[in-house]
Amino acid sequence: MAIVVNMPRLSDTMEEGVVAKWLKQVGDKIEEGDILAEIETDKATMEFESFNEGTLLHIGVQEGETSPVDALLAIIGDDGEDFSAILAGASP
Amino acid sequence: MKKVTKQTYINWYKDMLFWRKFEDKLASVYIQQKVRGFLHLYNGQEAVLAGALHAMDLSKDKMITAYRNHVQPIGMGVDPKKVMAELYGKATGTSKGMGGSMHIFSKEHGFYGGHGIVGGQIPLGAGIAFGDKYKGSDGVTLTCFGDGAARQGSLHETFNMAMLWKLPVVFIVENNGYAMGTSVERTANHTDIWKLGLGYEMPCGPVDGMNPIKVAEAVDEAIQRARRGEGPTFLEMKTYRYRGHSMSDAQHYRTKDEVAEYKKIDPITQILDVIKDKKYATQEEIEKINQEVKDMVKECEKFADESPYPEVSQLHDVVYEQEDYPFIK
Repeated sequence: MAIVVNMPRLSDTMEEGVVAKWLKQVGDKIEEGDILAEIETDKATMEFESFNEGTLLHIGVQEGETSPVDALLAIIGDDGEDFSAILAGASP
Repeated sequence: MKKVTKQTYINWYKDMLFWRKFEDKLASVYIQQKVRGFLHLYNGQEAVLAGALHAMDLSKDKMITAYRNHVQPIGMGVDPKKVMAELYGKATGTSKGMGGSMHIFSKEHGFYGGHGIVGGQIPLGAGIAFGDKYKGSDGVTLTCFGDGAARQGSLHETFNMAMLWKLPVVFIVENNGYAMGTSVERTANHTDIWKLGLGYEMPCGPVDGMNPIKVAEAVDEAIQRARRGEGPTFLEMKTYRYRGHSMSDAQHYRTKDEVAEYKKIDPITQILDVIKDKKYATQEEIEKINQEVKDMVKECEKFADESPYPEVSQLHDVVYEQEDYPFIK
């Protein structure tokens, strides 16, 4: 089942984050503990590790873009899985 | 010291793996804002706790530590579901959700916190030991703190009094190399923190803090000394933490190679290697333990998720003893 990964709150004061760099691309296999992206918080640029395993199906925030904490950042699931329902249900 | 048997190894493996996975789970729910405030994880330092617990007599010995304190109470017998719930701020937590990450307590299990003031627990630990001595109990208090706290002035006052009164306390500095982002090299003119005991003629020394057996041997010797009425010991556990000081630590002060080097002497891997070498368990049995640990963590998460938040009325419960609060009308 596809898992939604939201913009993480990486510090206690963080309200929005900038994706500085994606270290994984759509289609890449993800292991637990892999670094998904570098995210710029209000304090520093931090590595964001995956707590899930599967295939990276979708990227919701492109490099250089800012989004609030909890916005859809990525979707991880099985290869070829249909995640359109998740996207349709996600807030813009 | 209790004999280190095949079962000890199996227990160490299971306990340390559970602590590690428990902390990993907290990291993953923290970024989803289920756990708020600060969050300091124990990953990498598990051998210190595993070894110390083997040497302790949990019917009378006590422990006090700083804010990296989620797994110590679990090791001492507190229900991990309640610890997880405390971190979530739920009413079913160890302090009814009012303490949070840095303040886990269990009077019943002799775990005295959970302190947010750096080094604040050093004199408190000596005070608990004083209590035992005063009351004639032969319990011993393990007082743990980090390498940053070792630079606090309160350590020196406490060391002096603990030696003067021969208090039944074991001071343990868990030297994980960094006080937040400041390396030990940058906080003193030498890196052997254990030498701070020399000025007080306190028995002291360094210990391999990545190996539960070495820790157990050293702590056992210290506890026996304290029980005989011969006073405190100061042990420096040379250990390492894999995660940041807290969750909001970007870890720019160290290299990935350094972390990888320490993972080669990971306490859990070291114990698992012995289990495999000496055939203490089959691959099937090991996988069964791994699955049990996963299930236990899941159970903790479910319990915390489903527990209610405290009632607003609880806010005053620990402020005034009387039911009718004089200042709230």
